[in-house]
Amino acid sequence: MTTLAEGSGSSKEKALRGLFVAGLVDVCLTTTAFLLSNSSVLLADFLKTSIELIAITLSWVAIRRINRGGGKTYEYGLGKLENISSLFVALVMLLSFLIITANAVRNIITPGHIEGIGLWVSIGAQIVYSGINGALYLKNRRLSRESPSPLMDSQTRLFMTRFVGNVFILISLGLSIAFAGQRWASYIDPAASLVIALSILSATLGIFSSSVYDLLDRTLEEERQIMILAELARHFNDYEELHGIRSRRSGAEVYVEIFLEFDPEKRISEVQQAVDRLRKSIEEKIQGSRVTIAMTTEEVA
Amino acid sequence: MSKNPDLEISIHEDNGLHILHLAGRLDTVTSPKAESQIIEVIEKGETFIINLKELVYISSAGLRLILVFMKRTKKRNARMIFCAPGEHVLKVFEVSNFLEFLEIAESIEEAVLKIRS
Repeated sequence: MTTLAEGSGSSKEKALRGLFVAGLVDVCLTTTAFLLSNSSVLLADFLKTSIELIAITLSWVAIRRINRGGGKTYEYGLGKLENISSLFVALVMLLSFLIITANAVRNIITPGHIEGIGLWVSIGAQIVYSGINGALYLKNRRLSRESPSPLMDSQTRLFMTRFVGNVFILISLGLSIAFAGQRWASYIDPAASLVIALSILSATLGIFSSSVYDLLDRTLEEERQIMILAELARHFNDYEELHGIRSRRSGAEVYVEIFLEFDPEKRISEVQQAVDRLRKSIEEKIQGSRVTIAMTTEEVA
Repeated sequence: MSKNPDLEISIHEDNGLHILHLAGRLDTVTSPKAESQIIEVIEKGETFIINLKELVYISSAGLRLILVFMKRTKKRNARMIFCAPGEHVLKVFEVSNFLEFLEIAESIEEAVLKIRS
């Protein structure tokens, strides 16, 4: 079991390292494009890719720490560190939203046509990336249809969102360049950057609310409490009495303590098997849960 | 008859058969009081009917309580029948696997017949 967990953590770390390198290349390209032009959309694109790189870097650091392990410090995990990282990313996103919006408003008040070699750098990059993201979207959609899972669904959505983003920037830059002679065309660039800013704001609010919610130590939601009881009901004959249940959520982790009384005539190996069955079934039902089953003959508050 | 903020419990005894009527909500707020009252009755008798006809809501706290009652009655070789659960309560019993071990009757009369037979 330990080997499997380590193996899965190590492959996650490898995947995140790959994403970090890809993100770094993306940031280099968007930085070049942004610095060599006066486009609001390219400023928004630069900030968006930078946010993605920060998020990937933080996840990579967190996974590295988890894989190295707490060992002697008896850590419960890094649930809160992940949430605090998410909050930090949300704050950077909020700052980016404000910068993009302020820049777009300034360009709407004093409109001007976009220019610079950076536009062509970005157009080239968007064509390449839309091809890659479009192909990955189609591949993941096919895999998702063949064997549906939440992970495959999220991957499909991710690549579709990226593909739509690439096409959106491409169209925006293309229109701005194609109609450079028209006065109205100077509004395309700031307007498009506002659309990107709003998408960043929407994602920020989502991250912010879920991270703040997860940061609070609290008891489990009613749905999950019922899941625990459903498993206790399923294993009704495995124990003699239920003396208490404690549950707590900390970050993404869920801790459940169940206090049971067993038949004193039972062998310890039978009790151990019953405990293992119940623990495994609850941990399978509740994602991210760690279940402890304590043997007691007294009521636990 | 005893009264909790949102739960009323009335207990009748007839020839050793205890009939408990629960009306209202069995949730985090009401279950602690209900637990002490009902456990006291369970410790005395051997056959129980819990009338759920007027129980409009049951939460996980209420389910935990029922699990505790069932364990206590089983330990004492006693018998407990739940009767006339409403649609909501029955649905909660169903999704929580409680129907696997609960004995359910459609009415008090049916529950009495089951016990007497």
